Amino acid sequence: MSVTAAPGRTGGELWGRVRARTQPVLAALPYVAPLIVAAALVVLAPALWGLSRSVFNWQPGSASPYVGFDNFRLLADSTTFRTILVNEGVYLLGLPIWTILPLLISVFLFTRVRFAGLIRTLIFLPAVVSPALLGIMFTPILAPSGLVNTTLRSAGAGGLAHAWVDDPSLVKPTIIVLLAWANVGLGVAIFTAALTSIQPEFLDAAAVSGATSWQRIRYVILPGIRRTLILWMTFQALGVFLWLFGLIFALTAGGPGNSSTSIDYDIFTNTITNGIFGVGAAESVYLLGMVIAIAVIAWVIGRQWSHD
Amino acid sequence: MRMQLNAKVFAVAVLSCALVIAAAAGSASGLGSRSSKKQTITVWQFWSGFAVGLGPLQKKLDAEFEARNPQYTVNDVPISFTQMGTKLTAAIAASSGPNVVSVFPGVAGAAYRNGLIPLQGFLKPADRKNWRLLNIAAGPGGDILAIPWTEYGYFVYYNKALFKQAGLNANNPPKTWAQFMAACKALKAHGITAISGGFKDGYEWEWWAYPLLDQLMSPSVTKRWLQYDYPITSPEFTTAWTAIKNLAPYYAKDAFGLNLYNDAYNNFNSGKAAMVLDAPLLSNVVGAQKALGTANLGVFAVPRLPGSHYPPFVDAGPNSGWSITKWTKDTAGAWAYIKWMESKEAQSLAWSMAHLIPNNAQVATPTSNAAFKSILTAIKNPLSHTIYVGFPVSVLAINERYAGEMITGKASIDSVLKQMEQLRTTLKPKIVG
Repeated sequence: MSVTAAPGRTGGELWGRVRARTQPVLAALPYVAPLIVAAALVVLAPALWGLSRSVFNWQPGSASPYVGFDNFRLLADSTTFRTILVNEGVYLLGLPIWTILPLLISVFLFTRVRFAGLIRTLIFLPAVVSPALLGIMFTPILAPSGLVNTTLRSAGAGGLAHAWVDDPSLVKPTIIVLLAWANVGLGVAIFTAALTSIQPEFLDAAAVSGATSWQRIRYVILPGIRRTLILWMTFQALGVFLWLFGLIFALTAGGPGNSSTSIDYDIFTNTITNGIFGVGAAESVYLLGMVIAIAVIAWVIGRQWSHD
Repeated sequence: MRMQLNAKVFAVAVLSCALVIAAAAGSASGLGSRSSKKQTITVWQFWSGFAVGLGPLQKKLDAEFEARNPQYTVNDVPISFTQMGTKLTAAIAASSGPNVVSVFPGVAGAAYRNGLIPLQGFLKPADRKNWRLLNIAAGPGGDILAIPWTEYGYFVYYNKALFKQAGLNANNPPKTWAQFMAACKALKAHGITAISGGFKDGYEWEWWAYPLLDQLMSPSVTKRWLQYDYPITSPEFTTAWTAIKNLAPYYAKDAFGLNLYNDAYNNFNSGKAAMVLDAPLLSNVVGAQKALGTANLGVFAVPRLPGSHYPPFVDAGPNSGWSITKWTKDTAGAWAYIKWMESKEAQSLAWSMAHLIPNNAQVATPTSNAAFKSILTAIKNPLSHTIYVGFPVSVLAINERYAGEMITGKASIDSVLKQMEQLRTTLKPKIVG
């Protein structure tokens, strides 16, 4: 907010404007102050402390000398870290599937299906399973002699049986499909809520004008839910960087090799398994950069779509 | 009204203080304080998870310690080996956790030196004389952070009937690597899976690696390696890793998707393969003898590679070790526990209950089992030694993750060794100081 006096205005007028603007904020402050203080103490301060440690050879409980940007350089030179960045890129390729699948299901259920509520409930069920539990659940299912391969073999489709999570070329696509299954219910719920906000008159008008199903989706539904769509895609993209840990830990432990390691899992490995806390902190800074980049991209796209 | 309010506030304040004091008292339990008469020694250990039957042994050892030291109670917390590093690192970061903990000696122990105390000052001359393997217990800085506990040796166990079926002399097992490869080839030619193994959990690869590296590292290189002064990208590692990779055709096709624990043992015991590499526990030998017949089970040392610096010997070292954490105030109590575990009485119990090979030289190991006898003789060979204590556990973890890919040729040995060296170098300041 600028407090520079505009030409021709008196100091009293300006003060009045400032007061008018700040008064509601000041009035609300006592109500939100405890939350701000709590957030600062519990979230912000530890996060900043952790990030500040990225320039030290951080050894909790022991001497932690300043090392400048060594930890960042070490990661930049690390083949493991580069593999992980590639992994994250491949996981992001799942974004269209994670978006289009729930979108199509929700549109389908919204427009033409009986017992849609019941179907939505059933589809939603996987969303209540935690990622770690999902990993534990699917470990025996996807094992070389697990349920999937056994079923394929007994159905005479043994050629389709694969080492789903033990083959480096298959593990990431398998995880993408698994995440699609796990997230589809939540996506359907969110998109259905967004669809209800579209005025029925628009859909009726489109139908009367002879619009095809695709045209109705393209010109009525998608513009009507675009904010939700962007929000959903942003959350899914952020999830690739922030919420894969539980699934990876329980399902593949980052393997085979590092072919399924995500950045959050590697931060855990560097910090807690390898005990190189400074490197883990530096990796968190990289992660923060990636998350900010995604948020900015989502914001820019969102703005652009709003102006269309 | 105001009076009532003040009384309430006062009551809440008193209650809060009481809770804080109670919490503080709770956190100061165990060997962190001498405030109570009966003290608790919290022990985190992974070794009892190595085989069925070791849990009861740990309980018995704890009970015997408590009987001899009534002022102490042992709080035994079994932790899986794969979780121990993570839990211990977290405990060290928080400066709170167990008093006594299972840690491998040497470099492996030095990786946790921020949270462990040097133990050499506790050792009496008699301890130094009787407790074997103390010579490899010190880390690169010279401190002994873990006292070695009981012994293992790597051997290849074989099914004599399957050897005979392949036209091999079952009473003259391979001694050189060339003979070993020829035996594998003959077995395969007769439709027999030569080696029972599993590469999914990664241990199979490193179990071959230790005895091969032992041979390939000269005494001076071994010394440098144990001092954290020899890179993993050196030729000895490439040679050993390549020799292991060349074993791939002699495993079952699905070996990359199986675990060493316990798929490999189960398959060997059920006669599905002719050989299995095994190390730590004679209880596995007993299991194999029961399954295949005592006379049908043979044993031989890991064969000699070309370029071996020694006459025949086996890779032998400590099963695990015991350390004391820095936050333990009553270190005398914690040391009393370790001293008990190293004692003649405790290790005699370990031998009689679970066939754990003692590292206390005073303990007799009477046995009528011929396989046991040859194993014990080979382990006590003065040439027998190990280089495994030169690996930080987290560096090995990289190899474990890639073992399946290396054996199937999907990951190059060079790239894995480079990654291991990268982490080894990164860990150097933490380990060497």
